[in-house]
Amino acid sequence: MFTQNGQSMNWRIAKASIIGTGHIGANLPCQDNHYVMQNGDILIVAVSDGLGSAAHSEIGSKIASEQAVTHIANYFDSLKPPKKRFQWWPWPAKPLPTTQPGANTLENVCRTAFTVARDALSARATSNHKELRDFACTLLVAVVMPNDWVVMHIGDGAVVGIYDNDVTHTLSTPDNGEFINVTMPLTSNDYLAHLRFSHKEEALRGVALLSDGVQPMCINYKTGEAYDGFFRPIIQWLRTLDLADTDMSLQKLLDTPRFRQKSDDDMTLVLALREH
Amino acid sequence: MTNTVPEVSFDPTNPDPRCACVLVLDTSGSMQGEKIDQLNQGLIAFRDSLQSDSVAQSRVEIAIVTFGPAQLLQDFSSASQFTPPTLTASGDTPLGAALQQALDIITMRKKLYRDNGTPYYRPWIFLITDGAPTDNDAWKNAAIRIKDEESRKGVAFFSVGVEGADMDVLKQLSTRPPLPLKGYSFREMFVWLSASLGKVSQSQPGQQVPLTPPEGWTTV
Repeated sequence: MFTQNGQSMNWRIAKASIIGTGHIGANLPCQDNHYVMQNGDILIVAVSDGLGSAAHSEIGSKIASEQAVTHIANYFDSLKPPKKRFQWWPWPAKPLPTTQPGANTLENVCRTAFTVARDALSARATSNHKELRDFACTLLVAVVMPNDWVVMHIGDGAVVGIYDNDVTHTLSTPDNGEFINVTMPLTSNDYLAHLRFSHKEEALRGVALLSDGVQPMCINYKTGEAYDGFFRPIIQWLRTLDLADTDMSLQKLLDTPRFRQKSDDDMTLVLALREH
Repeated sequence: MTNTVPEVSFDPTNPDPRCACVLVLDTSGSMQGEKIDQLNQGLIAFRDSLQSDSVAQSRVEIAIVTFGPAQLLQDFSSASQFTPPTLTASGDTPLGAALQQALDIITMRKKLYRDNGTPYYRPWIFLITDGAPTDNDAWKNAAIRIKDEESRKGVAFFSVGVEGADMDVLKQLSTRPPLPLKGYSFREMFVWLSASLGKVSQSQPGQQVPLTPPEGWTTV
């Protein structure tokens, strides 16, 4: 079963979203959100950043991240063989279906997760008598399985893969357009045209997702590459922390003057390491 | 609770985002006397105001084109390094040539930003003039270019008409209406400009940048 409990034998996770000093100054709430679920083998992470110009984007980013992750988690749960109370036939000679889904179905489900997330925003807009654009947000999703991964991305922020020896490579770069203060949200009409999707048969040691508030520190503007001097120390540090303290410790790290000087935007960072 | 902090470095090649602004300043004969003096004082106030904003001073970049004749007096420099010139007034009013030059340097600046991976906000052109153009219809070509850039949201164009300015011409330069300067309140105008650039230089994606309404130095 997928649970939202961050810690397990298999995954070491730290996650934090903090409000930007610029947001405090402009009387805006923290518009960043994140949602993580894992079932031991498989990890599903979403990060979503509500647009500053959208009146209820903090609600948008919360709904989008939860809905996308839950949709994918439900799919994996549905693959498990049903509990048999009594057998009518001999135990099947064929191997039981594993939690590794067929590639095509996995991709469809993942893509659908974005539509499900967007539909949930529409539903909330309608029930609150608001416009869909009031909930505008970006959405980044990573699904990390034992031998492959899927990454989906609309907007800015980035997804970074963690490999052996704590080597990091960007799996999905920010989409900003010409100006740094403009990005493409999930709520736009042609969102599917801006959805970047990757599925690779590759075993990751971990993954990091970040909103654009953390981009200036660790994603090279020119090349999109992940900055080793940022990720390596944090990964190593994460291993030394008490599992119960990881979220709070990460939050405290983001809230230091060095980080605040580099960015006055909301900041989200989720780091997950596979332990076994 | 763990008290250790990791020794994290930030990517040193990532520059802060830039907000470029070209001042296009009329230094023609009609600006002689009180007008040019007050404009010079205004530029000092501009420098002081920008440099008192710790974020704006490293993100805002200023260039100055004066006319006539049309010339690039100062190429882009960081607000933290901006030295206000002392302008003198003489010459004619080749508005078209000056605006073309401003548009050219902005195009080149954007290319430089992109080549270096420097993120940037939409650049500003801020025109101050007290007369009517003397380079015949050259301003009309500039107007076409400005409106074209504006339609692509490539530039934000503002014009201020000082006493004696041909507001009809200014109206045709941009979709944004020109603002008449109240008397010689350049100082107040430049303080407003500095604050506005400061706001833009801190804005986040999707955030509309609400500028403080221009008050005190213009009649809106």
